[in-house]
Amino acid sequence: MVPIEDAAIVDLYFARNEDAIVKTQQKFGSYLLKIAMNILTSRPDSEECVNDTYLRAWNTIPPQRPNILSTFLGKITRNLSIDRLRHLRAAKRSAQQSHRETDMDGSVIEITGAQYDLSLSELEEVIPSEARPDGKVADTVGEELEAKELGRAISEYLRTISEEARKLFIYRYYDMESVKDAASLLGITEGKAKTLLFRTRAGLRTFLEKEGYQI
Amino acid sequence: MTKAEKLIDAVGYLDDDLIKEAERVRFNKTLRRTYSKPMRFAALAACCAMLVFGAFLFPKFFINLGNKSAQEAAAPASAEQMVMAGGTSEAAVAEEEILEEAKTADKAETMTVTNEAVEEEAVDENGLTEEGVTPADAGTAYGGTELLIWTDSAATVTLDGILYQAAARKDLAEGIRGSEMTIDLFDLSAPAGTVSESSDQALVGSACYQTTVDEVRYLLVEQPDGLYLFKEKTK
Repeated sequence: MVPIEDAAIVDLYFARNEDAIVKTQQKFGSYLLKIAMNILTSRPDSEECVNDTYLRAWNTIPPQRPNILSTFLGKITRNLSIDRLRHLRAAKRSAQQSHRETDMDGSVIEITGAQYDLSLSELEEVIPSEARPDGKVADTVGEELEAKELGRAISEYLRTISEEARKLFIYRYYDMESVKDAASLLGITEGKAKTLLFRTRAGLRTFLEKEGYQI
Repeated sequence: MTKAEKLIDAVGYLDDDLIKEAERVRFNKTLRRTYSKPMRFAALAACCAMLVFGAFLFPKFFINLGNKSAQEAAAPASAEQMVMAGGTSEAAVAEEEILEEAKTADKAETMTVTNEAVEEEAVDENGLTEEGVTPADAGTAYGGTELLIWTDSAATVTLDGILYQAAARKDLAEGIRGSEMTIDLFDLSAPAGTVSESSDQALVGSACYQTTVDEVRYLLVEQPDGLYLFKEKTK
């Protein structure tokens, strides 16, 4: 089976042809599910997020014409998954009870968002802000830092480091792969990956300081 | 929202080309999985072929092993018999039985084996041909042309001043350093010369065909009953 080109899939969206979703699912389904699973760890929730991704893509193309379809879809899935995780946690907190779900294989799992939590804890050290005891970003900094602006700054920093370190950072904090899986993707040892990530985070902190982000 | 959550969100706004660069590795792996099915089938087919080939060669290996054992047991007795050249003893009878076994095993190989010349050859009362070779020693044919193996390792011929010794049977059975010694290796269209000297006078003046395998010269000496293989004698 010859893979259909991304541009052809986008054309199907523009033609309002429902095959667009079928083709998207065939080509990117497993990739998107992987992103959602890394964040949510629950397959039903992840599948729901992926389906929402297709709907979101259907509604936004047109007018948008993504240059890189995989990235476009991946970002939607990632954002939807993070939003869903936060929503589930908020619901859990409000209900004051542990939210449990049943996985596909019938085993009961607890929604932990393990890799999400680990990513969060690792990135805590990066933003050079005077965090308040409650963990909230200080207003003087936080409100100024729009996510997009910070994203651009991080992109700029990532362009200054090695390709290996850059990819590893993206696997770990964008895809939220475990360190082990991220290392495996690059064909390096877990220990080396940890060292590389540590240096990248330290470098990012220094970079953000130099760029004038409030300490 | 905590600062780390803010950063996680910001990472979601990384430039597309950076993400694409990283995802290429993942997609390449996915594509390899998608398109490796034919390769998997090919690999599976190759494995099956190797298994069949192995199943064919494995018993053959033991047959060859048996041949060698039989020949090693027979060779000293044969040499002794050549020297004594007299009286049929029990040992000589036993030797013939062993060599018969070896010959029978040879027939089990895929190579074409004919013994017509040997069967037609007159055998004296000692069980020896005129050249002093037992019928069981000879008669392996390749591609329809007979190639006789001289089991008397002492027999020698000289061609162009180079001394050749009768090749042992195992030279043929095992191949010579990985190159199977077959009659095809020799150019039979033009003789390289004639035997000038030989430990067996019957071979003197016989036409010879020469080839070289792994820098070792081999001779086929033509006789009425077939071709005899000789190997360059090394010091």
